[in-house]
Amino acid sequence: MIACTVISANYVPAVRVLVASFRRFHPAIPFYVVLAAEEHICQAVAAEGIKVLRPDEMEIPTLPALLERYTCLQTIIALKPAILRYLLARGHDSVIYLDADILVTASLAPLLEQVASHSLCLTPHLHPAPRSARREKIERSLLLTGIYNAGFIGIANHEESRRFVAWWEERLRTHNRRDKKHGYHYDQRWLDLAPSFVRDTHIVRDQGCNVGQWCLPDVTVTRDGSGYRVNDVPLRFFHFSGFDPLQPEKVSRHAGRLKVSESGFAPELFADYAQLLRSAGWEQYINAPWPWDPPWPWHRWFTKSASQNRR
Amino acid sequence: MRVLRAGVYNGGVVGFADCEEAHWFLEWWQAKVFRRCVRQVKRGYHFEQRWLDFAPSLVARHHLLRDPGVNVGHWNLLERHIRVANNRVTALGVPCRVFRFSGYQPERPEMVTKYNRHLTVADTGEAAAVFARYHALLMSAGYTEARKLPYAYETYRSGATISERARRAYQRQGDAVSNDDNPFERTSFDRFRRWFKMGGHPKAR
Repeated sequence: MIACTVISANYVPAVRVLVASFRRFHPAIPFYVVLAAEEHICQAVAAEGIKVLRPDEMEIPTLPALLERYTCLQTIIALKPAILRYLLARGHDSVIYLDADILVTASLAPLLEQVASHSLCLTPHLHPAPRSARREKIERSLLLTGIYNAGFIGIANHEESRRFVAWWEERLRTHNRRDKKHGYHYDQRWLDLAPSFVRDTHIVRDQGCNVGQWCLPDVTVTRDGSGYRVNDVPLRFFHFSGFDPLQPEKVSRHAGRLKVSESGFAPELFADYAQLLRSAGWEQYINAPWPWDPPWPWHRWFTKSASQNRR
Repeated sequence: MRVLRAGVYNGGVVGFADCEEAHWFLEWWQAKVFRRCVRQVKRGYHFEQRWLDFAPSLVARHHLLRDPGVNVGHWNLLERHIRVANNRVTALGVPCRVFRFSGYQPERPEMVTKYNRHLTVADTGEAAAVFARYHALLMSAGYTEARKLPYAYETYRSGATISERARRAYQRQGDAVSNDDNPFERTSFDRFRRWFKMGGHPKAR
């Protein structure tokens, strides 16, 4: 078992928090971080005891084209299947991927068991629940953004999962963009095809895994001793998708003006996480430059790879 | 990619066992389809089919049929290697159990489907025999006569045809229309026409 994530320099504080929270419960599992940043930042993070991989270490033949074609966010996303493929190729029996904006709040042992025994594990955005007005809206938006959340992927080293990762990497090489009208939403829409491609796909039905703003208003997160509970199961990991620690009162930039205090999520969870991020150096890293920015802003429009990207 | 726009699972073959989960899912699906059974790919709608993408995540005991002989249609016809021998049809070597003639038009028997204007029956190899047989069966079942029959819900009670435009305007109303209203009744029609003339504002009703 091995864990990994992919970040650019501005998410270094988030990854410090994630790795620390993961190690608290699973000190024996190695956590690899793909860090697409300048050399001195990589060295500084590696010196903290985090296993850092640079994108050029992952045997991606098309990396220069990828870096030119995509923006920072697109590149980070496109590297996700690449790290999975790389780790599986090195013989690890199972790999979990966690987005950098995740906080682990309880042992993941039941989840890791499921990951080890199935080719592919996915967490759906929605669990069966009664209908409500906001839920209806979320269901409609999920048709455009993807049924499964790409913030968590669990993969066991089987032939069909390796084939799936290779397929996913190939798709994201050229079609990793957000274009709702045409059915693209970065890597996430592609995952909708996973259950039909991978025979042994397991859909994680533990409500405590990968909780995020899309679960509202069907869940309430409450404090329970040192941990948290989602409805009546323990919260294993929370995905702070779209959360900004500099505006800690807002749930997410994807949830409009919704305030944490009105959301049904425990306010302590958000306050603690914002505090953790700030003390891990959020303000210091937030404006870290992306080293592969094109020489001038309109560069991408005119290059050959950009025209492929738009198609 | 086209599949991501139209739906991962084909709505042509769906099976249910009589259990609580299935009832829950059918009710959910019905609510979706009664409200938005439209084809607006830009917004992520494709009749009933896109909603089926949710099925594996909402139904714990779902099963995806991976039998290559079930639901052979224009979207997978060429990769299923249809063979016809001794009056038996096989797909990838297993018996072909369900064949979908989605978009097949007997008026144009040389085309596989109206959804793909490049795919002709001649391209499909031995499957051409299946299409020929289906064409003959349709004809002997009275296709030509049935073709002339009108759609039962095509006119108002008064006999006036419901235009495509009026239908779309009614759809756009969404939840604003009351389900107790019978839009086919003459009186409602009048009210509807009044509303329609006033530019479709819900308050005009």
